[in-house]
Amino acid sequence: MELKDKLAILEDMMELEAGSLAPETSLEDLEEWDSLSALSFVVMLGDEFQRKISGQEIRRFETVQDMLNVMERDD
Amino acid sequence: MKATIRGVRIRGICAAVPKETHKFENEIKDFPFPEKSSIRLGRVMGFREHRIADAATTPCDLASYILNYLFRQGWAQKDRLKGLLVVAQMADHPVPGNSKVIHGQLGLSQETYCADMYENCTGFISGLYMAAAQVAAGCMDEIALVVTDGGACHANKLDRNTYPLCGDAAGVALICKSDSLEDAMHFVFRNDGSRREALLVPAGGCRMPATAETAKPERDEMGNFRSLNDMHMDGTAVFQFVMESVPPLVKEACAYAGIENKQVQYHLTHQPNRFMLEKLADLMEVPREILFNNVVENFGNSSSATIPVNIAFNLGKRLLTEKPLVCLSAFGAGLSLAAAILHLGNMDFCELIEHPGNGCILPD
Repeated sequence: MELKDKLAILEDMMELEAGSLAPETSLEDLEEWDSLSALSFVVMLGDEFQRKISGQEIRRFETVQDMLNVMERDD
Repeated sequence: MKATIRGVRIRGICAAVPKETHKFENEIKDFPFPEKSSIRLGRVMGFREHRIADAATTPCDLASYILNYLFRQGWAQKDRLKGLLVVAQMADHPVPGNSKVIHGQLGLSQETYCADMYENCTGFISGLYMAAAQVAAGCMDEIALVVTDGGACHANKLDRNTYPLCGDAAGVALICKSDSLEDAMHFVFRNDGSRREALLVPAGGCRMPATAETAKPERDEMGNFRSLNDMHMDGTAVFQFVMESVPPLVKEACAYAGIENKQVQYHLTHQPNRFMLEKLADLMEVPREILFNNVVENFGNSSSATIPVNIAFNLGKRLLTEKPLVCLSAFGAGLSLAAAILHLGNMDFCELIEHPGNGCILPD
């Protein structure tokens, strides 16, 4: 999946305008990165990429790049 | 563990919620988050309003109010009630247990068997199993199963992760003998204590007594505030636990009961929040219309009491004349899972009432 498509998924998930996110965006500075977004990320990762992730791993995310890094299918 | 108990039925269910209603839109200003973010959370999770008991009303008051209501209506008789099993996660006092407080409030016979079970979200099904076993064993003709919760799930009011979904309520189910071959209850229980920290109140018990230090709220990574005396919930871990464990549990319960999944007419589940229940219904390929998800947005999550509230609110008087095949399921702190398959209905009563507050135990 291309970078722009992955960013679009994240923007849609956090109800952000297209183009709002970049890989280097800091999650600490992002108002929309909250517990709901974290849960939505878990659901999206399972539905789109058939991957699981723990809350502990999510709590270690610092930038959007950290999210993009796990948005890959295992196969 | 799996068990079948035959020759027992639930002849009535009555649940009570506090009259005092708190609206999520009014609580938003208390959370340390932008309003827009909280509105979005409320929309997705199904946070609208919840019922919280006032400071003068305890879990025992809620329960005694229901039982006095049943006595007044003529749906229960004090001299017929040989047993009282009270399931709760909050107690009126550390000593004695809630069942003895309720016994005293109601003036029950000294020959009444009274027992207390400490249980969280799976409490109604665990309690049903224990209560039904008493009747089936011939120990008593009828027992009252009481599930009651107060204190809004131990949640900190500034914790947007937990407080908006909490609610207080109590439920009473009267379990009695049945001669009908149809009346059997099939139970399945699972526990995983190794994951207990996903839903934990760290302080306030023997492992970590409450102190002034444990009462100090601290900010977590997501910006929520809670102290060691408050509920700590790892939402991601709980969500994954439910999605991974509940569908196979329900499948196993149906197989154990000798039925096909599609024969279940209603899935009457514990009510954590609407978001989780919508995902669960979709995962189980069950129509959302038969897996109700509306208790949290109307009343809040009252732990073990959500199942009787669910039944009384969503099915109510229909269960006086209908008797559908249902699957009760519950999941939560422990981490624990429980399911029960039974025919539920042709009841003498099935309703949801409001508790007026002020510690009242006698309905007008």
